[in-house]
Amino acid sequence: MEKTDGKSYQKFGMVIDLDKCTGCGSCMVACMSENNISFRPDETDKLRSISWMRVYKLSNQKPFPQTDLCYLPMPCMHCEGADSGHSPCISVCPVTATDYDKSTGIVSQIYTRCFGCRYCMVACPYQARYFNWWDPVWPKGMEKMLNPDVSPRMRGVVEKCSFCYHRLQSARDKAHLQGRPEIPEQSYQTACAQACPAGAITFGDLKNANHSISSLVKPDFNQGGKSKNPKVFRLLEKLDTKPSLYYSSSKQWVRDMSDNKLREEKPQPTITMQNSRERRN
Amino acid sequence: MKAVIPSGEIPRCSSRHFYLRLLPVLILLAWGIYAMLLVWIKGLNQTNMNNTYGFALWIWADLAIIALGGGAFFTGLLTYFFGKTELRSIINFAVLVGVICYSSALLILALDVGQPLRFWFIYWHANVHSMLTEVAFCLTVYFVILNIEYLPALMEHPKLQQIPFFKNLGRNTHAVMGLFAGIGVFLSFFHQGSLGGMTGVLYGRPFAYREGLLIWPWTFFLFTWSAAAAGPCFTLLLARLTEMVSGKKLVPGVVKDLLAKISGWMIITYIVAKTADTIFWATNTAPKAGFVWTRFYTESPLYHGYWILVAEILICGFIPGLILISKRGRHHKRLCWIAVLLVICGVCLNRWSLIMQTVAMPVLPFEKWVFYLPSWQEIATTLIPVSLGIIIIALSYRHLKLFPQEKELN
Amino acid sequence: MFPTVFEWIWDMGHVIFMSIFWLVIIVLLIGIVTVLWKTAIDTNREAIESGDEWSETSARGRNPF
Repeated sequence: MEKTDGKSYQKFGMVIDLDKCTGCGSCMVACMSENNISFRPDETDKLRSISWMRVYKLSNQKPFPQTDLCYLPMPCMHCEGADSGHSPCISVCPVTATDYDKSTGIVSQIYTRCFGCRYCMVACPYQARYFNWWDPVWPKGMEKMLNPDVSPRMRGVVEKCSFCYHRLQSARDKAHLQGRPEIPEQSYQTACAQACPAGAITFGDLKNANHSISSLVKPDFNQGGKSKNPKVFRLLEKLDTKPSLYYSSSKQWVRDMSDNKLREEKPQPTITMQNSRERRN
Repeated sequence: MKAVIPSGEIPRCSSRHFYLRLLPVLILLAWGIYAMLLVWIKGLNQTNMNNTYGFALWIWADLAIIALGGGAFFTGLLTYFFGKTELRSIINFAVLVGVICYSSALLILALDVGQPLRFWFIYWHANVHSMLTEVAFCLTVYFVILNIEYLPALMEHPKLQQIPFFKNLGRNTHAVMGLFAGIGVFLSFFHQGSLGGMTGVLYGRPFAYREGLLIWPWTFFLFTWSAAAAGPCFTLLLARLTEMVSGKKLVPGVVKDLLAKISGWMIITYIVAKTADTIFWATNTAPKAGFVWTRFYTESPLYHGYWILVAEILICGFIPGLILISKRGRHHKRLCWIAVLLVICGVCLNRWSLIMQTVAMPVLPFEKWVFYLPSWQEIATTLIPVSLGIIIIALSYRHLKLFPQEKELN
Repeated sequence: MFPTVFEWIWDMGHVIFMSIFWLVIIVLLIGIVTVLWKTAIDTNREAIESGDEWSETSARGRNPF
């Protein structure tokens, strides 16, 4: 945890080990449950579904027996952008409904400020933002199961993964009550990280050497947070969005798929799945 | 209602005939209003927009309408600041077209946002670094100015002329028109440009992203330039359509010729700049993001293929530009009007490409292209400006002295 | 929009943007007020010159200051 000018600066981030991810979708279910994400009776149109965490299925496009698959869970990248706060979405929002918190590295979304212009959705290269095309309608009785710490969103506003910010607030309150100066690593964990049965998702403070993410990722903050670990990468590094979300894979073809390459002969995968629930159905 | 004809000397058709001819347009407007109410009451799920197509038909329509409404500011600039006084015979009409275009754009914006009642946030909680904020501020003020610019024409209604206050109001507003026109030009430069800046600053979207000058991407200047080129063409086209419907000559040929020539030079210089910008983007900017420029035009060749580039730059850029700058081209009636139409199409294509192709083109290597077709509600509401425009022009032409030289020319 | 509103920061962006915006608004308002003022004066003068019955309330009944 960095301390400058009396304030503590953390940079919460996530690393997902793609060698461990089985594509089970527990992270998606946990996220939906934790964050009161609305759904419709007919979820066929995935382009209008809200899934803060989405699992992609990637393929190396080689014929049997060289076929290889990889599941890639993708929430919001919480991009730092240039000049610490010039994330693609933040710089374009006309009403400051989204902001980069320098003290945590989290990109917030204020639902009561958002007026639904969707400019941030267009700006986001990861398509990590979702619009409420409808008002949420919970099946009778289910409203009792909603998380009281997370406000549901009405139609006409944009929402996205918040790194379970409400859990950070709870953790801060708890640490304050306990008289702790620091929040313990396990005190603030995202729902997806806790739910993952394979332990593929690691969440924590990238700037805190005591947090496991720090040793896994080894971010070089002089190089915009780029990882010193050759297995670890971020999506679309060339765009210089400086995401706080990292991936780890021992497979070269997976790492190659993290960014666009200038060589046209490189095979471009086309078979993907937006949501692995689709596969089950 | 009996038409109070401007100066009582120019004949107009009977009211029955007038409203009967407007009936199809009124039906179209009613359809649009029905769709509009559906969208406001039921929400944006009435459209075919989705999480990939956050911007779609409406935003394209907004950008295109505002570009085509650029005739108001550019004609004003030419009339009041460059001394082209002969354009006074079309300036009223150009301003009216501007009023229609900008009011339509604001209406479509009110439909497009998810929470229209929160529109005031954009002023109260303005993010000054966002291009959309700039657009909102400039658009709002410019819309007020356009209405002020239209006031003298409105005050010339014979019934209003009988009321001294309105008579004097029209005269005094006209006297200060240079000031309002000047502010209008200043604001237009910025909001037309900011609309281009909106796409140009998207560094997460390599198709749209452009480098530029200081905080302004090159698309900022290109949008203003193209609006200045296409706006007068649109004004000319609508004037010609009004002539055809009314069966009267309304604008002197020399004025049309002047405006067409100026448009021609604007489009030719614009398209050269646009070509240079496209080449720079294709060879420098896009490769930095890992894209070979051909990818943008080959991955979805039917809807976003090379044809867009050829159509926008060559067919709707160089060709009409060359026609309009040549005297022979302008004096060949059919060729001239084809050129005017092509300029308008070119600007619409440019806005389409920068909005639709930007959102359609996936950035992540493993994302896929998504197809979009607007819903009937989107189409109906997008046609509201057309129907409203026809009605407003028809009513203005019928009751006001929209074309000062109408009497002399007929 | 105003320095008193939450989120206002005294940085170059806010200062340049808002100062230009308010300058335009002020110039526009001056133009509008000038036009309305002149119109009121002209209308009044014409009313007096034409011997309008309302001219008494507008001219004679009016405080000269």
